[in-house]
Amino acid sequence: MVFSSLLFVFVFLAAAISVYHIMPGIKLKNAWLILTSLVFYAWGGGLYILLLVFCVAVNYLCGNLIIKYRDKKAAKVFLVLSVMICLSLLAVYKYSGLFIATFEDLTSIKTGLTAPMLPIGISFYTFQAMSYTVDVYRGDVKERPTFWQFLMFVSMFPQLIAGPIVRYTDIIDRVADRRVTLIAFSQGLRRFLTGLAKKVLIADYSYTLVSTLLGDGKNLVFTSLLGGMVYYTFYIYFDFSGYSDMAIGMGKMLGFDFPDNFNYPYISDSITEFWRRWHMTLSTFFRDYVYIPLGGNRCGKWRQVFNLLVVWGLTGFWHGASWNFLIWGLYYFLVLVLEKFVWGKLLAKIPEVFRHIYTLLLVFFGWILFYFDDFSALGNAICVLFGAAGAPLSEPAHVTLMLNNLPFFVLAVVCCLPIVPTLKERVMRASVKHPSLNVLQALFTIIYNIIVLFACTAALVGSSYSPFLYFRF
Amino acid sequence: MTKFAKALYVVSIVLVALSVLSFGIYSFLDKDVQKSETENRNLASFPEFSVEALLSGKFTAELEEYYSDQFPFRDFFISADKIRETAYACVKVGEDDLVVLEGGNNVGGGAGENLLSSIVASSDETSSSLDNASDNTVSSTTSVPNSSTVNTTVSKAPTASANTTLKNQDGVKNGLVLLKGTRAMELYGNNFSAFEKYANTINRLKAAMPDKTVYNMLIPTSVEFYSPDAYHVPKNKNQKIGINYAYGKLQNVLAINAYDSLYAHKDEYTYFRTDHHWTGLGAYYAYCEFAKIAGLVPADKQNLTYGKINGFVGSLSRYVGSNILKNNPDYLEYYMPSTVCDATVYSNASMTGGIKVSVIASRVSSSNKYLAFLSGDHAMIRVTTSADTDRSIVVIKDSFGNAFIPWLCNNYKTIYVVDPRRVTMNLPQFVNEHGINEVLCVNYTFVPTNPSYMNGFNNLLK
Repeated sequence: MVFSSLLFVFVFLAAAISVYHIMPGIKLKNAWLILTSLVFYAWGGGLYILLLVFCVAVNYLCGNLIIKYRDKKAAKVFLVLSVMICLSLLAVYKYSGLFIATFEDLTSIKTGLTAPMLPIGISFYTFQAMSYTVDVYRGDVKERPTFWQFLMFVSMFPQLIAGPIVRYTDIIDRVADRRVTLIAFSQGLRRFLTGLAKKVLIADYSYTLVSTLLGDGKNLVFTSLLGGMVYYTFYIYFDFSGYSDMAIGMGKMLGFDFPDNFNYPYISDSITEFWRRWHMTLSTFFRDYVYIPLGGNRCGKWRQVFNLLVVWGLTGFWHGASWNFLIWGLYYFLVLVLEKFVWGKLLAKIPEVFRHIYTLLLVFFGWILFYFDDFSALGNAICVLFGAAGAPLSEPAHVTLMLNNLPFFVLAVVCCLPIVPTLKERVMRASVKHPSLNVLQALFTIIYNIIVLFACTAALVGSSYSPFLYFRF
Repeated sequence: MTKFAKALYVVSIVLVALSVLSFGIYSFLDKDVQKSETENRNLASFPEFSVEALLSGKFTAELEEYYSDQFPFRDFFISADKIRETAYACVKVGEDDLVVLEGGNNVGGGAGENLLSSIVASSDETSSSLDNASDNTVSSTTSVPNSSTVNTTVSKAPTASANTTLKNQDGVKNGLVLLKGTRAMELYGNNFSAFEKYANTINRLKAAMPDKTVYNMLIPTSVEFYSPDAYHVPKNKNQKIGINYAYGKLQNVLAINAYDSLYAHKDEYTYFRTDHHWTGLGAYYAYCEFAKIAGLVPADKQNLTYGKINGFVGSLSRYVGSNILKNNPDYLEYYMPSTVCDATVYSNASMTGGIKVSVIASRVSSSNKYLAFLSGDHAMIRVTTSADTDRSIVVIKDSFGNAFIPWLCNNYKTIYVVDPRRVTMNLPQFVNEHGINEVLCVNYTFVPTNPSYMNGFNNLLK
């Protein structure tokens, strides 16, 4: 099931949240949450739900065994075992297709093997499960969950399919005791609606422009490539962050405080800052579970560079089973190393506007590496970008299309800016002196909720099925 | 925070909860709607259940589609959404007020459309799953033609926000529509290898019928004459170049140059503004050119009975979000043939069990007034006229041919009209069986890239 569907919003979510709040006591609430989450996951079909339960069971068991044999060698064995099992699941179910295809291409041998289908959410729930066993090993998990609590943590429908990557330690104090205040529920609802709006009112429309402007990537024209990639830049942000907003909003309505995942990344003035604002739970995951264990920046410059290489290679590769994602990750490795060791100080000295332009240009180029997962198409795109392909400069229909869509472009740019948080902060400070501002804020919430709900419902009816970009993750 | 502010937050939650719950509950209680007029298609019905379908995810996917299709007040929400999308793209470009819109795959693709009830497209025609816009009318009544209510089954009409599937998923090209003032035009691009294959198919037909006269007429579309230069002059967009390329590949086939005459008369009402077809008048000028090559005296339209059907909002309007085309509809002009015509529609080449139709219907109940010509696309039509001649001809055509056939009724004794998307036949055999000496392939320039037509066209030799 996708979040941006009428069935999900008007039937599933409505029922899930209403019944949840009717359920007396935390045990029944948790049970209902597990039940609805499993139905949600199984909705996509297939028996992949068994894979999910298997992954949960293995990690839970290993967690218990780590606790049992704490301070003994066996603990480490069980840690390694659980991590290896999770990574093998990923290798088989996510990457085997790529490995088979690459092997066949390089050796010209037809293996006749076919890769299994990619189970939804596997990149997320394996990481969540692994983070638990590592945290248990490190002694960060103060109170061990029951199996059902652990299952609930991994399978919770708000964040199961596409994040944010929530760690057990993030929600440990809410597992057995959750209260949802009125304000929290209202905030969660508004966040959910905002995420839905981002996805359905902005991301989906951006994507139609992307597919028209870029087509099949074969007859690219310079201005269409630029325009298409600009809208792709919008698309991937609004799609991904919209989804995260929905997840966080739903979590809040159920009493959970999930970590934020996106913090207006396009206002960054360096790539270093960009990665502190983009997909934050992923970069902190790699930082805490790969970078720091490898030594971080505490073992000398060259080791640090090596650690960064590993982390960014993995970050890129995690995004999809295709080599261009690895290249995308390594591209950022290169830029980050350059920022850290070569031109970071210089960068801080140039005027702010140029820092923003620099960042956006680099991010834009990165998305070109990310979008074209076929090497020949990618090569062609880069040639067109630098004017080497002898392609015409522009396609009149596309230019007209882009000019027609200036209002949408302006809307998308405005929504990339942190207008709402800035306003909120000011209102909060001012409302100490003027309590009536609280009333205004509440009134605004009412109007906002109704308008957004209406517009999103209309858009959902107007479209059909709209899967998220990262179902391939 | 004051109690009042808190109460307002409660209201903000309650309003949403009430809306969602009431719509959710109502969506189960309200009756399923069978078809959508705005979308011109049948809406999904409750999917068939099987354990297989459930496990493969097919059942749940269909359930979601069913729920979306049957959501309450669907048409209202779609109109509201169109307003938003029109607002997103509301900047008009240049003095021509140009707007480029997503047009879906092939406006005239699929298996064509007709007005008749009991004629069902033959089962081995490619289904509407190929193209987005497949107009195939099937209804369960056996009513008399021209008065039946049309129950068109069109698979999902493309909306701008639809189909945001993963990139590169099916490599399907999104056709674009150019709106210039109150005229909509499908944008065109040359595919020379498709033209070559098209010409080769005709060449093979000719080779199998060496003693028959075979004509080919390719018809340009409105974008060639009414769009700004940049949209039709470059080599990869120019239909004159494309047509001449195809004609250059023909062997022993008589090519008809309709282009120059259509160009000369482009300031007359030769193409619809809201539909992708040409008008009866456009077909007339092509008919005059055909007459020159075929050695006929073309009828003078001044001498024919003229008629007009108002309020024609054509196929291209579904891609335009605003009401500009609906507020400026076309009208269909017709000229009744001078001869007495007897037209029968069949679902197969052996011509059993036919239904009588009018060559031109003076009233069309469907919103698609172009169906006035021959009541639309059929597998096979036989027209016998009172023309003073023995000449007979078989015309292999797409829907552009429908406006052309009535003109031929002035000059031929018998006309067989074949739509290769809907009929299975061996053309050389058929031509010999029925003593026909002339074969005309008349198509518009988008056809060589229409797989459903080309498949059927190639199968005429089987």
